[in-house]
Amino acid sequence: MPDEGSKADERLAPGQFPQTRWSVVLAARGSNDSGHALAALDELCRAYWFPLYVYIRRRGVSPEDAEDLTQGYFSALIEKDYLAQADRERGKLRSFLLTTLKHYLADEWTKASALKRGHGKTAVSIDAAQAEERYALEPVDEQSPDRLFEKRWALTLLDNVLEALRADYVGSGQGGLFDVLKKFLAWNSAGEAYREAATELGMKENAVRVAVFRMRRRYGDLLRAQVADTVASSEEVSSEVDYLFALLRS
Amino acid sequence: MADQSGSSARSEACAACGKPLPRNAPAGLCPACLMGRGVELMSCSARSGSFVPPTSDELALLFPDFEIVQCLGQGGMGAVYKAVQRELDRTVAIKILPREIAADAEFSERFRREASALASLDHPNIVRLFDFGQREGLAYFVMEFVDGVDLSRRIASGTVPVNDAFGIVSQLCDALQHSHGRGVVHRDIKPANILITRDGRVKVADFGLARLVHPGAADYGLTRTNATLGTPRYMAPEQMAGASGSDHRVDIYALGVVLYELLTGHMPVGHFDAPSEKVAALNPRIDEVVLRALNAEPERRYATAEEVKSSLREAIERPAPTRQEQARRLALRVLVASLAAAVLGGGAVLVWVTRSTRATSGVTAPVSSLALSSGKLVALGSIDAASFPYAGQPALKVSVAAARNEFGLVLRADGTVLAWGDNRFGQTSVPQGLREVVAIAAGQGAKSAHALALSAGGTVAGWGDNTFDQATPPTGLTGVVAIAAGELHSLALTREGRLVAWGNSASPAGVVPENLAPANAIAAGANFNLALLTDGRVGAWGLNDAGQCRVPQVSAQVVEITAGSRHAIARLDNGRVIAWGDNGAKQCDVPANLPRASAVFAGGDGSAALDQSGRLHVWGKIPNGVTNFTGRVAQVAMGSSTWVVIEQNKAPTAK
Repeated sequence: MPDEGSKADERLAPGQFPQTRWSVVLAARGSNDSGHALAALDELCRAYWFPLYVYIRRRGVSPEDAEDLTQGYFSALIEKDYLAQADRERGKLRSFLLTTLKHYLADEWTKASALKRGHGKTAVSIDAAQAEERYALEPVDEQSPDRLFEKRWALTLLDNVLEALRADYVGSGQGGLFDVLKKFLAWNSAGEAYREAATELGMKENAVRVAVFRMRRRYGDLLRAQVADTVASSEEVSSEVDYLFALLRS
Repeated sequence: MADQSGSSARSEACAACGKPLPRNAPAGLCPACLMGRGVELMSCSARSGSFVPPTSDELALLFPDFEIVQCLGQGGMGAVYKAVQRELDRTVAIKILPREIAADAEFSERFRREASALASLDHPNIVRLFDFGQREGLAYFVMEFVDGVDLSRRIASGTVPVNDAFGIVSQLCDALQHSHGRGVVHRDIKPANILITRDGRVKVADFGLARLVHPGAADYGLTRTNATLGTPRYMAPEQMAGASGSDHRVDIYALGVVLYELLTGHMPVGHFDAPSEKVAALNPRIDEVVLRALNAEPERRYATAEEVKSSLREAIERPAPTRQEQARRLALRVLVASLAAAVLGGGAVLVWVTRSTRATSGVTAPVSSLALSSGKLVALGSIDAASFPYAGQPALKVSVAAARNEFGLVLRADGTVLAWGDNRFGQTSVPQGLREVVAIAAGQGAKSAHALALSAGGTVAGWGDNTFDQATPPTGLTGVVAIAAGELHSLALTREGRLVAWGNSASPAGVVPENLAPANAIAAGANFNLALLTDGRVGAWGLNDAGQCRVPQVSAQVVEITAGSRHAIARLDNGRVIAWGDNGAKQCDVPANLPRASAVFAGGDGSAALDQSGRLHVWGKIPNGVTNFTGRVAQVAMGSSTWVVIEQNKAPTAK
């Protein structure tokens, strides 16, 4: 996923939600022109494979098997018509992926057959070593795999957004600005923090406030776009963000 | 994650929320806080229908040539900020107009035209307009910054000595004379728009803004909600009635109101006394000047502001008249005052004006005004003649308690109050000497047994059951423009739009939510309250067991709200009526083919609406005899078993 940072850029058009990516996929179900939908689904999978890996691993599967299963799942997703099941999970990509993953795993284990890798179709390129390294950083406290999946989902979302945001600033030669001011995305700030940042950047304090304001705004735009890609319609963005916030707070 | 610095395990906690920071936190930041910021940012831009003023941050972006110092205030007409114009190092005020106004397609052209006219006004008593324009969809004015207070604050701290009043008014006349001479009418002269600098200089603000913000409705001088309570008191009758072609003389009228208020501390409302009658040792010659400025007919008013000033000066400089002269004057005064009273009525605080819709829709909504509604009382329902002693008598307003033990109040044209019904708690023992009443409210709810009256001077009197202090308004409560009474609590609205509640504070209805936005109107059910806010939204709080606080979303503007015991009704500016809350007696089932409503009423479990011709449409729990009533109605008040109607005497004066 990390190597998709630059791709994330062009995908996330600020403030524009003509049709969210997930809705494109849903709309294309059963139609002949599914090329567009497949491309959309493909992009989405690339962004969110890690939460699925985390889920699989938490289910007690070994790293090697987890890698196989993740690959296998995405192949199956694209080859088979998992999207037919999307009716029930219509609202969110997040729930869709988790539910269909569960079904996939159940199928595979009942079959107890050899795990298939994607036949020449690499749905998603998973860096196995890196996957495991990252998994090691996941919290160890007792949480259901579902919960862990969802939290990881939220974090992945934020990762994507921040990566895109950072790429924005780096792209316009303001990488240093991003590094110093990014903390203001999470914090509400007292004058002191602004002053310190101003000194560090060699800017006037007022200019720092303005820069922070702009960064927050842009962050909001990117977050909205990113979430919108995973829900069926832009009206659901707010409630999804609320849900994820409650999730992260617990 | 390119930003992941090494693999150092972080066991820190987030400084803001205290949660432990996960080791793979996005960009090293607390994910909960990041998502929380997201929640904030998502909801910020989703708000619609209300004017969210830009933050100083946002403004700083739009106006890099200015240093934004602080936000000075905000109202329906926009938000004002103090700023320093960098290049000239001069302190200015930047006024931002509400976004939805600038969104209108014809706005830009109008804006340029009007603003140019305003910018041409160059007078020491008029707030100077330096610059105007639109940036990123926000229309703004850059104006002279005035370091002082507005007149309403001066008035709030007491009456003004004659010479000071003259000083203020004569500068006001100068300002008006100057602008009228250049064809600019203010249309919204009121103390809030009159600023006084430290050295006593008067500066009039917001010239012509009313027309800019509301074309077509310009003659009403209202904010978006069309139910402004403060401003209508300064509006000339022809302005209120929406006559096209109301001219600069509306400013003269408003000038008269301001002068009266300065001298007496009261508003010239209802059957008002001449200034010399209210203020000891005030030269009675001044009465004539004031009363002429307040003449209901523009032709009989002063024609120019200059004349007002010179007449006033003359009046002050000449000695007080002899007794004979005074007798002659008295006759004149009574005549003029009663003319004004007939127009304003006693219910000026409850004037609801619908604004005409835009020309594009091809429909012009007629104006209706409850203030013009006097008539005679008719009781309907299970009441027998003995229980309702005032049948056939003239009245301005009536209020009936939808209580187990019914009682009611009548407000007469002369400002006095009568009561009838159950008196176990003294609820019909109207206090002696209660005069100049402009509004009444009988408690609503099975147990209610208290009553309130609002005087023209803005104070509230209460009587009846006081177990929860519901009949004792808080000490020092002044400047009240509307009242409402629930089952065991009372509610008042001040001139500034602030809500005050007293009574049963154990019930959520007895307490006002903190930080409630300013309101233009209020209503009380048995245990819940409604407020029509200046931004057009309806706020509701209190008991919600039947959804009476769940205000439905509407696309049109709400112009009137009213509450029954457990339900609420609102009238929209397109004449439609909506209802919500308890529907056990079908009181929320608005009749499907209800014609455009000009007024709505609710009480107990009953609902009613008036159509344009004064016919009453009713639904909900209705006593016998109501549906048979075919007269033209001005007002209806619903008790638990009796409804009292004010039947109109003649064809309504409203168009």
